[in-house]
Amino acid sequence: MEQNPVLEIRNLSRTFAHGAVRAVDQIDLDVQPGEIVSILGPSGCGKTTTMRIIAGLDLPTAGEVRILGKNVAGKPPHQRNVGLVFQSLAIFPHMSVKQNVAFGLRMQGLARNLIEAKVAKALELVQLSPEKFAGRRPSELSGGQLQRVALARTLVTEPALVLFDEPMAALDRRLRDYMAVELRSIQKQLGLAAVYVTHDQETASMMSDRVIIMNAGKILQAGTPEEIYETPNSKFVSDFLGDTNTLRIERVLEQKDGKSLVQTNAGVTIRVANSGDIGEGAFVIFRPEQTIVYPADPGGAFEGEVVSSQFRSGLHRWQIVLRGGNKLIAQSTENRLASSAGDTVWVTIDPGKARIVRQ
Amino acid sequence: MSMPTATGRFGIEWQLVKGITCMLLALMLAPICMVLVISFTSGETLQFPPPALSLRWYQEVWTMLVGPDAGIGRLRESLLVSLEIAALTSLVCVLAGVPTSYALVRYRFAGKTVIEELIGLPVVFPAVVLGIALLVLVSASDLNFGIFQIVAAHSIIGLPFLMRNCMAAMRGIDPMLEEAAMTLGASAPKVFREIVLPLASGGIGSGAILVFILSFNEFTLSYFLYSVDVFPLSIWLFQQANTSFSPAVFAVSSLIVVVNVAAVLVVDAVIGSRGSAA
Repeated sequence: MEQNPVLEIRNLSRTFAHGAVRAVDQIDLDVQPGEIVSILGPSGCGKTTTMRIIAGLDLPTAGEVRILGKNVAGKPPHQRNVGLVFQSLAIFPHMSVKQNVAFGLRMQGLARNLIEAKVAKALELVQLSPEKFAGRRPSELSGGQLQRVALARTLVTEPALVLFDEPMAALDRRLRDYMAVELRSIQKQLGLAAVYVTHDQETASMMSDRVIIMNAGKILQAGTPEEIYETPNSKFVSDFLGDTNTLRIERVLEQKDGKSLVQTNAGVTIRVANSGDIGEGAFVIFRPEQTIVYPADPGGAFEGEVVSSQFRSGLHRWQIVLRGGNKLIAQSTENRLASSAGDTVWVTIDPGKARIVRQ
Repeated sequence: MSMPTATGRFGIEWQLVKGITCMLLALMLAPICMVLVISFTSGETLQFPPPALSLRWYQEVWTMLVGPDAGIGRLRESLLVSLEIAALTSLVCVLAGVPTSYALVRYRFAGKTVIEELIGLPVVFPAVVLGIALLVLVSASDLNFGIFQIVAAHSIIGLPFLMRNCMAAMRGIDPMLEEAAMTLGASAPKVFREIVLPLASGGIGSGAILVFILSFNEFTLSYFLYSVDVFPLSIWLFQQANTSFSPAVFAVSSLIVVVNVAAVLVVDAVIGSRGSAA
C-alpha cells in the first residue's frame, strides 16, 4: 500500500527585496516515510531558505508546504512537529546536557519521570552514556559530543520530519564520515523521514535515499545519488558532484538508438551513451575514472601531454593537456604508466559512460 | 606576550602616560579620600588633617539611625525613602526596559531609530531642565504622586543605562538558540522565559544595580521633586551640609561611598562570572 508522503512541497517560492531576488523559485519536493532526501547545492542556492520555510522559521511568498497531508501555512514553528538540527547546533549554553535534551519534552508538558526515562533513552541512542554526560555543561563537550546532544535533543521529541542544516560542516572529514554512517543507521532504526541540507556531495551521497541538486533557487535534478552521479543532466550538476572532464561539442555526427557520435573541439570523435536535441554550446562530460590512459597510441585516442601526476588514497591521477589545449583529469587504481610531467600519452573514454549535456 | 620595547615601556612616552594617569586618579580620588579621612576625626570640626582618629561620628550616625530620637533628625526616614525610590526605579526600568530592549535587538519596525535616539536622550539632557519640566507638570496636575514623582523622574534617566546593558547582553544571544527552542515546541513567551531571560540575566541584573545606584545618588531631579513627606537622602545631606557641617555628614557620605563601591563590585562579579561561563 502506498503511504502518504511526510512532506509535500508544491510550487514553493520565496523572494526577497520585492521580488528582485528569487531565493527559492517554484520548487516541488516530496519526502516519503523513512526516507532521507538531501538538498545539495552551493551556498546561496536556496537550500537553507527552503528548510527554514519547512520549519516555519521563514514564510514563503507563494506555494504550499504539507506535513503529513496537512497544509501548515500560518502555523508557527512550535506547532509543526518538525525537528531541526542546526548548523551551529544551537545547544543551550545555560543548560546541562540533560536539560538540553529534556527541553522539548518539557515544552510538551510531559511528566517528570517520563521525561527522565526518555532523555536517558535518547542519550543512549546517540551513544552518550547518561551517567557520564547528563550532568555536563555544553562547554565541557567536544564538537562530536555536542553533535550527538543536538541530535538527541531533536529526536527525543519524536518529530514527524527531521531537518538537518549541515550540522556536520564543522567536523573534520573523518569524524564527519563516521557521524554520517551513524546518523544513517539511527535514521533507519527509527524509520525517520528527514531532509538533509548540505553543500558537501560526499556526505549527501552517504546519507541519502535521494538527492536534489539546487542552484539559484531552482531544482536542477533529482534522483538517487548513483543516478545523479552517473547521469547528470547538466554541466553544473556534474561539476558539483565531483571532478568532471568537459569537451565542447563541435558537431553531432550521428544519433541512433539513443546513442550519439559527436565531434569535439579536441579534434576527436567520441561515442556517448545518450542522445537528444542538444542545440548550441553542448558538452561531452565524463569522469576521471571513465578514462583509460595509454603510453602508446591504441588508435582513436586523444593525444596529450602529462602536466602532473599524483598518488592519493590508492588512486593514481594525471593532469593532461590535450593537443587542442583542453585539460583533462584521468584516474586509475593501477599505475598504468610510469609517466611524469612532459611525457606524451593517449587517452580513451569509456563510450558507455560519456554523456552529452546542455550548457 | 611580546617583549616590551624601549619606547613602549621605558621611554619618555610611557613616563608621560603614567604621570598623567596618576595625576588624574589623584584628582578624582582626593576629595573622596578627604571625606573618608575627616569622617574618622575625633574633633568637632571639619579640620584637616584630623587631630586624632576615632569612630565617634560613626557612633553618632548609628544613634541617628536607630536611637530613640531617630525620628527627629530624619536620617533614617530619608535613607529608607531613598532605598525605596531606588528599588522602585530599578523595578520600573526592568519592567519597561527588558521587553523594549528585546524588541529593539530582534525586530525591525517603523520608528525604531527614533526610539533608539529617544532612549539615549536623557543621558545628554540637562537634569535641571528635566527637573523644571517635571515640576511644572506635577504642579499643573494638582495631584499628589508622593514617592512616584521621583521614581518616574529617576526612571527616565535610569532607563538608558538599563537598556544599554540589557541590549548588549541580548545582542550576544545567538538567534539560532531561540529558533531551536521554537522548533522544539516552545511558544514565543516560553522562548523569552526559557532562553532570552536566563541568557540576558547578567546584563539585566547589572543594569538594574546600576539604575539602583544612579537613583540612590541622584540629587538634581530629587531637589525639584522632593516634598516634606518624600525626603531622599541626597536632599538630607545637602540640607545638613548647608546648615550644620557636622562630621556626622561626612560619616554618612563615607557610608554611601562604601555602599556604591560594593554595588559596583557586585556588578563586576556578576558580569565577570557570566563572561567566563559563556
